[in-house]
Amino acid sequence: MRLRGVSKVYPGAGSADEVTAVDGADLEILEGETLALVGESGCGKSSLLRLLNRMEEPTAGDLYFGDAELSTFEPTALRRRIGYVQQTGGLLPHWTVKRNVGLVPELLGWPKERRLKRAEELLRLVGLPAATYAARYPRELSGGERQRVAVARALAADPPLVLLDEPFGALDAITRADVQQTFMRLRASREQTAVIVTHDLDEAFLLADRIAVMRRGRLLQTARPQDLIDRPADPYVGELLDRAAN
Amino acid sequence: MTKPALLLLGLALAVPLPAPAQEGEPGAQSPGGTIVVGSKNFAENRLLGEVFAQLIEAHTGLEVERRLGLAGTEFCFEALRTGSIDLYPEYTGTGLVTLLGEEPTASKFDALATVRAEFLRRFDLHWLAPVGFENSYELAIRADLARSGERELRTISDLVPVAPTLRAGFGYEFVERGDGLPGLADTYGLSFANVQSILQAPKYQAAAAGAVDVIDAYTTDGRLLVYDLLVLEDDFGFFPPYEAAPLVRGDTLERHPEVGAVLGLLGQAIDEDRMRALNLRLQEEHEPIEVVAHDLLRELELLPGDVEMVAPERQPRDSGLAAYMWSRRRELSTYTAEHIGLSAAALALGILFAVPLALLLDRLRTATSEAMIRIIGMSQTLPSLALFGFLIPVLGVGVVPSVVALWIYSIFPILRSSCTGLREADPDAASAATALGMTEGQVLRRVRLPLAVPTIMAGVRTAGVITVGTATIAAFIGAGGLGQPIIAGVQLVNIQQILSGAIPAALLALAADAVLGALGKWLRPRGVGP
Repeated sequence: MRLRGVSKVYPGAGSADEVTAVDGADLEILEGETLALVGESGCGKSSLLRLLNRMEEPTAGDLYFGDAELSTFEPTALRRRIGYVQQTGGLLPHWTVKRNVGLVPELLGWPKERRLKRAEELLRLVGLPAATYAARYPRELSGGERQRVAVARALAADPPLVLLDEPFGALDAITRADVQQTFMRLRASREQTAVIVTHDLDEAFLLADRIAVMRRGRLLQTARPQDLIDRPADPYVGELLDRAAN
Repeated sequence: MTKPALLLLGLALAVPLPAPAQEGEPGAQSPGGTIVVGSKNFAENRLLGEVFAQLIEAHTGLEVERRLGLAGTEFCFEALRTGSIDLYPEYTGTGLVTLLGEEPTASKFDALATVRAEFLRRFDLHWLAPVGFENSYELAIRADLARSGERELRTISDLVPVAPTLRAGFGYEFVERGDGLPGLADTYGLSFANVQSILQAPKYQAAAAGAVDVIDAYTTDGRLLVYDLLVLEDDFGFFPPYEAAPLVRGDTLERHPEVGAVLGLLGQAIDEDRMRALNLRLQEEHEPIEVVAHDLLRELELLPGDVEMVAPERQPRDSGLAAYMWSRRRELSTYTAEHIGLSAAALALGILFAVPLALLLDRLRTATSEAMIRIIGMSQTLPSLALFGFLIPVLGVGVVPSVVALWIYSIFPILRSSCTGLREADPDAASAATALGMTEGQVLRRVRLPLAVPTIMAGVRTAGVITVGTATIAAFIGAGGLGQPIIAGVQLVNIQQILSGAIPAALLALAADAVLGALGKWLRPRGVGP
């Protein structure tokens, strides 16, 4: 997926000024990589993520998915091919765990048998045995278990691209480490591309092949973690790394 | 079957529920053999309505539908004019002054001639032969005030100088009508320290308790015989003559001329003394109207020998409430069934209207939606009688306008809660569902609507309790229900009768709360709520 000169401006509401969330972003997401978008709260990283599955439409610039312009894809069909995990609350509270995991396959019209089999397989992969968890409702799970289910759901239809918006941000440190490990195991075994938004630089270093640093809507530098440390392109990047190191 | 499907089925079944009550709908619409008899909401007029009804039943093959106790002259007249009822007892003076807006006249012959000619010309309504008594307004004063010290009041003119120190308790219509207080005040130069509007029946008690000093009374009111009140002579002859007579639709007489002939049997048959005695039986003895009407027709030898009425069991006086309610169990179960039917129909229509409207407003999601909810919210504040005032010219009286009125009251709570429920139903879940590729319709049907169900049902529960509580107003326009004994009891100052309607109505409201609460629990999706 490629972005060229992409901007997103939210019109001001009432007396509020308009907000430029993403400002002329150029970015190439390589096939199979895990890219982390990092930056402070409000730097525009979530907005950038939501442009990728057309939850937001750009104000300017071009996005390409493969060779085709992103805007040529029908939004709902596109989203069914892109996994998505959000920070909290993304599970449907009135659906069981197995139905939640089978959501995208259900939308794609998979037969029930296949959906269930797939759900069980994924639950096992994220460390939740189906026998115990499949019939539960989200409120019967802990925060960490819920995020595991959300990750399983995002992967259910084997999408070529997965977007994760602060997926582990609401978890306590121990649980977070645990779920991160599970996520890395999953990543190691497949060819999917992943974009993960995080404000936690440690997490970015742990999970990502490349890191894109954002500030006030602008992409400052996109590089491998080591290159980021060795050759920060912007004083802010160095500052950010120092802060994380302390 | 899924829960939503079951719910829809239930709603569909609920709507036709009041069908039994709709049998013999307004006479004009059913050319068969049904006559709809109305009356106003005070004892004498109800009794006359019942007398007309029994007489028609005894002498013709026609079915009679009773819509007794309609709330006031305007409601009766509109119901008659629009064909919701075929006839009701009216008074010539009221026809002349209140309905035609003419000047009062002192001659009862002039009054009758004028209303006959004018009602026929303007409305095709017929005044049949007056039944014999005049029931005029009178002013009555507490006897102890009429004769205190050197003062002795005999006429209204005598009252004028002392009136500014006295408190008046007058009927609602009397305070407004040209042939009531405004004209009287003009003619005599009368003004009181203050004037309170009170229902006809409790006025006597208010006077007995010393809460008011002067009241308006009817000539034929039986209570003038028992309460210590002095009737003041109308020395200027202000009050016009009020002869009671059946007022009948022209097309009814055309279809069923026998109705006119039969009611003619009552011509000049009841004088003031007899009427006063009959009223007293209703007002103080609390005898059932059906029994008093039947006795009267017997005395007048107007019933064929073989007519036996199915009278409610006679009630020994001063027996307990339970015994009273048991003796009226047939009527009370009918009223209860009507009450449930009216409420269920209105609530079902409310749900079928308000929930889709909420979906529509949710889709628009603009400032107009909020404005629209506010406007609909104002419907809550319409007094029921005012609402009926708008509905009767269009829908007549009976079940239909009652259901419509209750329906209007049920919309707002359901709409408000549906909008809130849809807006606040787990926005994170809805946005995740969208991000994973659900269409807007799928998000609505599979996520937002199911999650909104508990909130929507909370609104339905509120609306249900409101509707059951408000359904007592249906009795004002002849649709029956538990308001019937309540309103009749208030007019007759019969506490037992009031309670016999009020207690079941309260229990019904509690039951509605429990049933709708349980329904909400059943419909609530698993995994949501407490």
